[in-house]
Amino acid sequence: MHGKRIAEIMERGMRAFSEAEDESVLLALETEYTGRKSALGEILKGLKDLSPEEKKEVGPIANEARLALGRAASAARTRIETRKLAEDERFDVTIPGSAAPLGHLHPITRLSHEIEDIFAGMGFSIADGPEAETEFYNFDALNVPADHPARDMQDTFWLKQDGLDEKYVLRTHTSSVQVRYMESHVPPFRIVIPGRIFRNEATDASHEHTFHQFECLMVDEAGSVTVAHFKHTAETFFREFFGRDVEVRLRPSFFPFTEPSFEFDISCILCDAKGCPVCKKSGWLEIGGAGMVHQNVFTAAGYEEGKYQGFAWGFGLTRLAMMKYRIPDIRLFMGGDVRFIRQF
Amino acid sequence: MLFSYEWLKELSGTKKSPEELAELLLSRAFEVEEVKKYEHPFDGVVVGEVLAAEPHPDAERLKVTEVKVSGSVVRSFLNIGDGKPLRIVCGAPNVEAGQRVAVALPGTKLPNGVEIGEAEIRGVKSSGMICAKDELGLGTDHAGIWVLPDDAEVGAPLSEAMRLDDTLLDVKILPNRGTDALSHYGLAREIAALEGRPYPSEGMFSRHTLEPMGDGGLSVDIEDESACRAYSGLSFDLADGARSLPLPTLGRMLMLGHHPIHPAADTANHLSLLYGQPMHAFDADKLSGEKITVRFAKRGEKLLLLDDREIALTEEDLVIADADGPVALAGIMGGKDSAVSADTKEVFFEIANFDPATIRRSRVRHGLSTEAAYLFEHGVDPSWPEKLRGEVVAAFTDSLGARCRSLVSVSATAALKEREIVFPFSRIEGLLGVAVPEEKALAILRSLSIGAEVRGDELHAVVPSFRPDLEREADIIEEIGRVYGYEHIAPSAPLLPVVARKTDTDSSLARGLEEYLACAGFDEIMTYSFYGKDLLEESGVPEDAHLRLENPMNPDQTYLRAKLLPTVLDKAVENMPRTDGFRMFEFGRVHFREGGSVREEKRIASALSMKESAPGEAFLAQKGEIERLLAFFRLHESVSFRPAPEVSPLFHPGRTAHIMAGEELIGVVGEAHPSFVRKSGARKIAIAELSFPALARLVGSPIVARPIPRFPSVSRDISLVVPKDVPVGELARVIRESGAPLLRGAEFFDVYEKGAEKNAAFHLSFGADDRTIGSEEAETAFQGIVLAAEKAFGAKLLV
Repeated sequence: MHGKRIAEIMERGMRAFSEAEDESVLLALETEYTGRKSALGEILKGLKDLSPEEKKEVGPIANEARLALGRAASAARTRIETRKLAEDERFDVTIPGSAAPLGHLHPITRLSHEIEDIFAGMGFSIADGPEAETEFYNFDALNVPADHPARDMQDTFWLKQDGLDEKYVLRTHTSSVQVRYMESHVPPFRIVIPGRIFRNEATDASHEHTFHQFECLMVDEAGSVTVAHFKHTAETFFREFFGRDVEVRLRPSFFPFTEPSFEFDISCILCDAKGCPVCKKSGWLEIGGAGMVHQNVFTAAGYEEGKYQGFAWGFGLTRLAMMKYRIPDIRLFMGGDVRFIRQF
Repeated sequence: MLFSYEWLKELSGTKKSPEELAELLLSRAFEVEEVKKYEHPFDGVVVGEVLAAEPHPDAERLKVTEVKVSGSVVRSFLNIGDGKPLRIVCGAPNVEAGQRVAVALPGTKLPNGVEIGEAEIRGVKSSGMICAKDELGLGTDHAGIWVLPDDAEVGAPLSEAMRLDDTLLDVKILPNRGTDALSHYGLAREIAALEGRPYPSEGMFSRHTLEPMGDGGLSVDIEDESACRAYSGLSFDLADGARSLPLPTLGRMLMLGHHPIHPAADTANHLSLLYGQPMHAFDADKLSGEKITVRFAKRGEKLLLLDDREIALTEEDLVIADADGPVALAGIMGGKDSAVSADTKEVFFEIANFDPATIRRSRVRHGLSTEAAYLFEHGVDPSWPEKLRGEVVAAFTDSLGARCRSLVSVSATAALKEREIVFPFSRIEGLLGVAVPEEKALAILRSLSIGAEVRGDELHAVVPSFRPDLEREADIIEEIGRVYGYEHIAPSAPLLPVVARKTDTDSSLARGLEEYLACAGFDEIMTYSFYGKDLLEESGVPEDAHLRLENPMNPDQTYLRAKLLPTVLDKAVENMPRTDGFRMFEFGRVHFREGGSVREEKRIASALSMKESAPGEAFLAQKGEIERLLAFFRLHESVSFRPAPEVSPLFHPGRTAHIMAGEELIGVVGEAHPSFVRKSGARKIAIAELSFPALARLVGSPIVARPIPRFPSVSRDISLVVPKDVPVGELARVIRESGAPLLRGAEFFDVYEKGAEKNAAFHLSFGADDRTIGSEEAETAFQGIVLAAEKAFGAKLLV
């Protein structure tokens, strides 16, 4: 008898709540179905007058109905509120956000950080040295004596002597840090040296007198660090850097501070080594120079001749940036135009 | 250096095409920068035979010639019958019947631009032209027509007779390989070695007889044997006039950029291209005395060079001198007065070896750049002066028809010593990381003319005189490695002990600052490390503290910048019209001198531009960013800002602060001087420059965490009226000091100036760690602050 009644109330109530569309209707429905004076409320109040058997039968059904109707009321309230928020308080969320403007790192810095991180992952430390360097560290210590044609390989900015105690240049390569570092460290070591370098030449779309280089040096005892290890290190680096397999090709070359010396090319990443304008249809990109550190460099640093061996390689950070970001004009790097910098 | 493919092929015996040869050289020896088919300028020029040369009936200086030019090319070109000679009117004094000459057929356009046609010259019809050398673009000789050697084939195109169907290779010979590879002979030897073929042995140089036909030649005296290591002097009699070099020889020289000058000089140039040994021909009759001397110049001596420049010699210039003085700048350029000419009857021919550094210094000193100097600078094989005498004698007697009168020779005994390099064979694998089989390694070295054998565990290598670059173990291993092929070295992972990576605190702070600034809205720029006079003035650093470049290319490279801001502000001003507002920074280095030494310091400079709605906004934004940055890196505790008593011309004199760490000046922040933004209306630029090492030296106090306050704070605002010249910073300090211990915070929020006074306002909060304080207690502390401010500055509480 009560059971049937409760079922009816439940059915009507659930439907009514599911159809309620605004707050005032909901309040009225709550009074009607879940309030103390509602039909269900009366039943619950009357439970105490029932026989134990009836109580046992009706009690759980009535309570269950009360809870279900309560949940339906709260679901209806959430639905009504949600609709109200979504419709009445809506605004255009596609309007751009209003954070303070973001600054941008220079492409060289960005690239340098990226490269440092890859080398750091391979256990390399970062070393540094002066940009205004003595003739000794830039040339003599690197087995480039005065009056040697190798000095012509790089056009050099010299500092006026003007009473300075030594002859200075603006360093023509980051290799100038090699002997400085060796003087205060004992192998084994692995270092990278990023930095600004200078060449005394006229500027055009592909030439700058001021640009950036990256130097990498790994030294251990004789017989330990070989050309094969250099190839592996270079391939690993470029695979990480370009996110794909890259082949390294070594060609004979000459640098006074390495022997053997190499030019090194990587398989063209723009055309998959098929040949394109960037690699001049050769399938290879010229990246930099490398070699096994010349014993004269070690002895200039005070190491015993023949005791150590290792490789050194350097590549143009500026050139790599031009390649990676397709920068058409080298003058943009030092141009200071924020419209360029803001692209990075 | 440019190489003739056909010449290299002839010498080396290679079967490779020019492109294949370039590929081989690239991977094993030298980069070939260009492979280019030679395009000759002689279309329509053929070899003709002068059958007759009669005087022109109507003109004294002209001759009417009949020139035979038969041949298939001529037929197709001219559509004239075979065997029918051309009638050409010629004005050259030296044209004679029987000569072989270069004929430009009618319709030909010559290298000098002149178009040859058929014309009537004083009533005689003339078809084509007999050419002088200059008309063919072969130098400047216009003394007469160019008489070709008698064996030139009549009717053949000149380009064929000169064998100009060739390809040129521009090979980048490495600087350490100048001695052996800057010549056709040397590069051909390299090619043969790379292809594993034997090369004509050095024995070939003894095939000529060396018996002078007369005597009375000059003797040679070498004063400094370290500067001149070998010298051969040969005297040739050209009494009958020298014949021209064979056409193919002239053709080769033409392709390689040499125009015929005089047969003796041409011979020198030709042999230099072949062997890489510069040589020089003197007119012996113009040399005075019985001997020539190789010596350093004396003070005050002068020399008129072949290029008509007169140079003042120094005591470090090596010269060739006769009894009267210098006649040539040794190894660089001959003298004008002793040069060979058409009238030369006797030649003194020099094959010498000079010290590379001496030549280089001289060349640089006099600003000269010649092929001979280039070769000597890179080191020439000291065995050549003796070995090449036979080649020279053969060239003069066989080709030029000269007689060798005498020869003198000083050979380079010391420089010719063979060098033996010995090292464990295992070092090859130890350095390259690949095991090269013994037979292979030995074969490679022997093909490069390096004597090689293995004795026990050791490799013995004997280096010939033309490879002075091979000095030690690594040099020999490089030869083996490159010829073996670097592609055969398989990459392998280095095995190094695990060592802690040293994190350089400077570079991590530098990177942190860069990234922080980018996140704070600053764009990073890079500017040049030097500037000119204008920016030097702006820097405020005296000129004598600046370092100067010795060889700037333009005035903007005169000084190394002693401050970053001049170049940074320069770029900031450039950016004003490009954008509404900007923030930019540079992390760079400055240089200045301290006594006799160079100081280098890393700096951070920034510039910020904005439209101000109240004065000082740009400045406060710039300063605020510095404060925030310092706080982020916990470097702010000891840093304070003080009005700058004096500023550089970059800064607004009333709106600039010194950034102090204790009593050390570590930076400057201020508004840019109004002159930089005069045209920009309400837009202002604020700038700052900080010393990076000074920042790196600042150490924040260690962090000790404190509990969150359990007892609430009482908030009060304070507004104090003080004289205008009292700095807010000082007022804040007094508030903080006098508010202790209950003052939890004092935050500046407003300042307002009126007349001689200003009104500065702060939010204050009071509290204690062990109890809730009452309003009376807060009031007492508040009054203490008012009292202290009154005492310090005469401040009055604004109510």
